[in-house]
Amino acid sequence: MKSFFISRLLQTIPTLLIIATLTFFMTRFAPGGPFDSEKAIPEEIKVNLESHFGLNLPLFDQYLLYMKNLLAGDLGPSFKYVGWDVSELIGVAFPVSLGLGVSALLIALFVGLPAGMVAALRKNTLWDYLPMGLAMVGICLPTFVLGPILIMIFSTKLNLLPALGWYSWSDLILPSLTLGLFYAAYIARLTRAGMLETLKQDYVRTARAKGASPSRVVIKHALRGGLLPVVTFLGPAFAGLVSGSFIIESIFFIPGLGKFFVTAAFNRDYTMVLGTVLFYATLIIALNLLVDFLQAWLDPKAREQR
Amino acid sequence: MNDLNIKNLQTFFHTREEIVKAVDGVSFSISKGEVLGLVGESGSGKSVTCHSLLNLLPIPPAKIEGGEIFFKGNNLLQATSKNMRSLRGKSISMVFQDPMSCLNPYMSVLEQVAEPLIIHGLVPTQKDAREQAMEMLQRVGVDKIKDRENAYPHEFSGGMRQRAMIAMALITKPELLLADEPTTALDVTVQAKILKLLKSLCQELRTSILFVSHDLGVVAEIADRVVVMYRGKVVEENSTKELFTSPSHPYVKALIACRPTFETSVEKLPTVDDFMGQSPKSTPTAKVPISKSSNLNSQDSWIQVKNLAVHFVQSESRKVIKAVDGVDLSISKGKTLGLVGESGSGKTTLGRAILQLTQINSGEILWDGKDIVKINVSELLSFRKRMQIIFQDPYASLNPRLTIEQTLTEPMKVHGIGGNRSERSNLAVELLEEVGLESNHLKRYPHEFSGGQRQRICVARALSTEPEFVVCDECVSAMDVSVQAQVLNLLHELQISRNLTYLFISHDLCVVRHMADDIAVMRSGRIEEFGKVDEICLHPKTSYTQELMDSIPRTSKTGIF
Repeated sequence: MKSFFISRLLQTIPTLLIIATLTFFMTRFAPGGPFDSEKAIPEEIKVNLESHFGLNLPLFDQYLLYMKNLLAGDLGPSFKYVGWDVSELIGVAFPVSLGLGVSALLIALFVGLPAGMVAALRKNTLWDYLPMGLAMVGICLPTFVLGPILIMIFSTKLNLLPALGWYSWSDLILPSLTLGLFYAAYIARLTRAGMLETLKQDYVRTARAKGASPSRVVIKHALRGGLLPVVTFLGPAFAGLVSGSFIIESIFFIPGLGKFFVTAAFNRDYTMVLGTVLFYATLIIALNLLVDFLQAWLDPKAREQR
Repeated sequence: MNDLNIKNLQTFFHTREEIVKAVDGVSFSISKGEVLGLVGESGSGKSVTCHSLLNLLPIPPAKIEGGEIFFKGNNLLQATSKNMRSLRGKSISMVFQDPMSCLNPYMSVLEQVAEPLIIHGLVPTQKDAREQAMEMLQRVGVDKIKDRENAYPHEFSGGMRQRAMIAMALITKPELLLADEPTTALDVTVQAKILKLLKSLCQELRTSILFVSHDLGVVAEIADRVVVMYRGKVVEENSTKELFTSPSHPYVKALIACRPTFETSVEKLPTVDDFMGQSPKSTPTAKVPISKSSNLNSQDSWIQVKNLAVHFVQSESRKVIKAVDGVDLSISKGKTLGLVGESGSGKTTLGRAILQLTQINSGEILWDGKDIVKINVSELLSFRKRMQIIFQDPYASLNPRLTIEQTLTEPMKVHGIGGNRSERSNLAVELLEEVGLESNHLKRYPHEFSGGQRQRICVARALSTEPEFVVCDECVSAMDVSVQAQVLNLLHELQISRNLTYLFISHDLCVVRHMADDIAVMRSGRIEEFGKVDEICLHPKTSYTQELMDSIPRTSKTGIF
């Protein structure tokens, strides 16, 4: 078990190096550069800028230099946000995305898990059809539709919540609802399927044959197995949530990581793209590792296989 | 006084198309301390009867339509769900068939065994429950539980799991134990131990048992009285001794006659149809001893296996498993070599290795002196035509998306048998008729057939390349005795008409004895004993073979035959 996690940790190093290499060359081979903008800048200034950032060096030397700095933990300066390092920018934007992501995840779990469980336990009744129907709508409805709808209802009509910005706690509610409900729909469906599968198992019948009450059957015997698929889904889902959503951040004017991610790519802000990609990759790897831990904790058989 | 009294129980399943009368007017009773055997083939309604008793049925589609179940004077069908819960696991416990799927994989065994005590509030603290569970587990022979307090079900062997299951059922000292095929998933030697354990523990606790099984031999070992079910109805109820010596219902007669027994050998097994047919024919129980006269075309050591080894490396722990560990065998042409052994002994791996379906580590497989391990791929292909296999599960081994015609003609196409499509199609019809099916079955899909018919299709598929050698890997193990008899008879007829050579793999010594000329007993990858069938069955040389023979549940031990 221990050696499994150590080997998994060591595996992340080559993974990250490969991602860094691929991203480095892919951004460079994309047409255009960080200093080609609509407003043409004088040639000599451009040359100066390029030499300042080391862009005049041969490509492979730039790569080696970047990797050397990366291994020392330096993601380099941003080409577009003058005077800012990439790590500083991530440091500012990530807490915003993290706050939004965590609250969205909490909403997703608190809505999705009970809805899925009730649907499974009351299979083929209104208690199943209603939440599952809503979940289907939730999955089909893109966030860029749900977001404006929520703004229209709660801000424009009811005037209860702020529509945009990122100033107070109340600003958190609408964006995290928009983001969270989508994931809640997914979790509800996964929970329902997982619970139905475990409730069919022979050992659940054994529990009933022992005289266990319905609540004991569900909580002590069925829940663990039923939640395993949800846990597997949570790792990548959480990584997606906290690394920021470009769409949500654009709708609600939130200064999160997702916006940096996309604008950096448009701007050919090479170091920024690389920095955010690597940050995202690390996050996914770490969370998947966490999921493995959780699964091993839930499933004794998985514990042994590792 | 009767502990349990079932009167005219009716449990139906309401499916979209029809109402299935799974249990249709069943009545019987069990008195205190009695062991009642409930016997029937799959689908006869015995498990549904059991589940109706404890109200464990899936409702819907199941529904108890009528009848009464009196347990110590109370009608269980009118009990509230709360009253029912207080009975379940306390006064009436249940042991299920498959000890792997019936134990919760996410909970330690000790915790699960202790749970009934906690649910029914029979002990003041969790600690007491665990202590009692520990004691009970030791009593049922789960060894070393003291060092394995936190062990989970998957860390136990099948036999140990079933012991834990029994401990769990008996820990509350119930008055009635429902045992639903409790030994069916186990090896014979383990089965013998579990039966002994059940019987002695229940005598000690004065627990009555309803013992459900498809296996008449097992029931003869344990039951005082037997109820036989057929298509949802009770066809006979009698004391065990009476039932075996003078069965009255034709179905019961058929059941007793059509299972191969260890003591007697017949050329052709009688089938249920022989008994249930319109005109009750003169009893075909006349047991003709098999004429083991040497076949004219027989040729000794036609296939020779020399020092064969197959090893697997477990991917996680890097442990080497020696599934086949230095095996020497020889198979004579036109004869049947029976390969017996318990689960995990390596018999399936050996069978597949001989067919070159598994990579072997070392050794030789000689066909007429030619080593097929060393030949190249195209040469092996022509050998494949000569050797075929029939698998255990006819549901899993037929492609559900292919018609029977496609299944049967594909091997012919591969090996260039039959010039064109219509010719191959005609050959397929001939094959179907040879295995007792009809030409109009050709365009159908596997799901339209019963288990026995599917196995006939599998036999036809194996014969489609006109092989000389067929491996039958547990090919009747999943079947009811009546179907088993038909398939065994078919295999026997085909052997004679086509001069086939069989490697007949089975865990069931009675079946192997019936089918085989030679026998090899396998244990942990090695051949324990190898020789003529009568020699080994009558005078086993090793203690393991002796133990295997002794473990066979048989009616004669009770002095019936």
